[in-house]
Amino acid sequence: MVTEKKKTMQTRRRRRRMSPGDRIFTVCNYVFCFLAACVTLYPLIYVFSMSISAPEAVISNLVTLLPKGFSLKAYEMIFRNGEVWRSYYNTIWYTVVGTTISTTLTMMAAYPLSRRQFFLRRQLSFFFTLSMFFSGTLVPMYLLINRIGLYNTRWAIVLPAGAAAYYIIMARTFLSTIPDSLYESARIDGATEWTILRKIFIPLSMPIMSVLIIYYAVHQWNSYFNAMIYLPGRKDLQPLQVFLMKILINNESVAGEVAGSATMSMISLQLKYVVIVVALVPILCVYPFLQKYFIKGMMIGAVKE
Amino acid sequence: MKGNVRKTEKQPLGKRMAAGGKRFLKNVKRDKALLLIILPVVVHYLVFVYYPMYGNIIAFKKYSPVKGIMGSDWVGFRYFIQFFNSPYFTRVLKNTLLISVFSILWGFPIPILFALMTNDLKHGAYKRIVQAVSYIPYFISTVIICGMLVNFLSPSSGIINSVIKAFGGEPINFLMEPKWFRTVFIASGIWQGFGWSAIVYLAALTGVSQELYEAARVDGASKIQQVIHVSIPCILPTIIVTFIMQIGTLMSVGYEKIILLYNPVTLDVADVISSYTYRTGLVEGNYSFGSAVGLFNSAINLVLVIFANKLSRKVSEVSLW
Repeated sequence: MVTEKKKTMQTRRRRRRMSPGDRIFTVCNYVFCFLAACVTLYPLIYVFSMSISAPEAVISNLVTLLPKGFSLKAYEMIFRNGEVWRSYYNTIWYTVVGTTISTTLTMMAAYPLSRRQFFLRRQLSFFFTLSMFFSGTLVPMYLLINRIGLYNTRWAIVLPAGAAAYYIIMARTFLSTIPDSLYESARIDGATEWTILRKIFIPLSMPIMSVLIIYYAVHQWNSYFNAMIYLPGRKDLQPLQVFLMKILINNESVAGEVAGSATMSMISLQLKYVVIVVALVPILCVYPFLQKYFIKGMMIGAVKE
Repeated sequence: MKGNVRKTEKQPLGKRMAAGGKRFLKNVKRDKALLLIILPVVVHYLVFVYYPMYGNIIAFKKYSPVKGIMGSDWVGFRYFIQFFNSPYFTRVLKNTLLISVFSILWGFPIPILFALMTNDLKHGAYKRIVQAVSYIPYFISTVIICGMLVNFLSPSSGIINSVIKAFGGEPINFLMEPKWFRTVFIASGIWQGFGWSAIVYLAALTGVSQELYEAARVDGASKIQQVIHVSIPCILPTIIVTFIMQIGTLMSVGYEKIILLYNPVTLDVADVISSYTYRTGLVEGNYSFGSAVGLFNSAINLVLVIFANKLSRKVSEVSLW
């Protein structure tokens, strides 16, 4: 009797867990998620396939998903192009220097603001956060860059980026979880403020620093607008994104391309896909880190003090 | 600190100020190192944030590069009035609003649906892969997104038009047709952001207690019923706050993507306030007029953010500040 009852209950439960409706729901779910992933990936795969297919296949629209034929001629052309290397170098320069400056400034602001005893804590927090709601518009910023002599120099790209108020607040929130007593005991033991910074603070703040570095680096890597408006006269200083804009949007031909020649007109379409790949690869290579640290940052940012 | 203030309140003003000054100096001395650390950032903000903020006043002056910001002549609201009276005013206002509203209308529910769907995936690896893939476009630069759009939508060589032609349709020159601009702009925006925007909801969904689902199951709720009666109510506060925050950005459609995609043909539907600021202020060099347009935009944004924040605090006790 008892075992029979148990059995029916078990079957009922099993049936309940996967009723026909639920099964349809689950299947639909899997299919939709798969489709979402496909929609996201398809353009990227397509771009890659276009970039390595045979030029004939590219020009006659034969590529749909996987590469048709194989040719690295377009890559060869791009890598032989001096402008590509130069703008690549510039982007790396802006990313490294800009990220260093921005991260350092952010931490330098966040650290004092996270210390409970700091007497200007509230006032300075307000001083920084005000910029989130109201700041100089495009034109005054442009005039400033001109006025202080940064126009057409590398510094016009890395200096104004500075420390974003939102990240200062994010870092402050993280740092204020380090107990003050830790600093106090270090000070009682005779440590100076600089020793505390080096021995306690920096090791403990590595998680937030990595988040900041990733945020600022991605931003620098991807930005084009400032370079476009602040470096118009300096082709040699322009970053990769501005180069991409010229090729992809303004439809300029890659320098060294002999216009009119048969191979060139054939390959010029493929070149566009190649430059996209060339600009995307670094981002995709570090993508696992990006994802991890961006989400981490978002979670820290969501925590309110 | 508060106690000190109250004590000095009864003393004469001069003495109080002297005491305050003394206390200030004492504090400065005590926090010397912290002040020294934060000083460079303060200077940086004064130069790169507060000076341009002050520079906004050229919107009320007839800016001449020779005379500088201080020396230029005041003209009051002339440039604002000129902007309000120009035919561009309604155009950019309308375009900004339409793009925002439709972005929210289409773009807001999709991340929620996506989060609900991925949350229900039972295979951990599959779930992780779907999520990881969905974030990728968020990290792709605006220039590349627009470059892909230009190439994919090209009437002669683009893949989209190849598909249309394969089905016997007429190729469409999407970027040259005003009626397609908003669709292209918003759809690509959704493609880029839906996975990333879903994170907030996914985080909220992981916080939902499994017991609630268990209880619903015992009561005989089907999966769809569980989503409707457990998942959605549990993430509703997050949904509301996110929605309200989006209202705060209603008038701030950025110029970065717009100016890469628009052209003289689509200008009529593509020109938003920020791109108009860029074009008049920097491209045409009407510094004062451009500043006036920009200032008008930031004033609206400020009001909207404050309004959204107030609303959010009232509804859910979550706010930006």
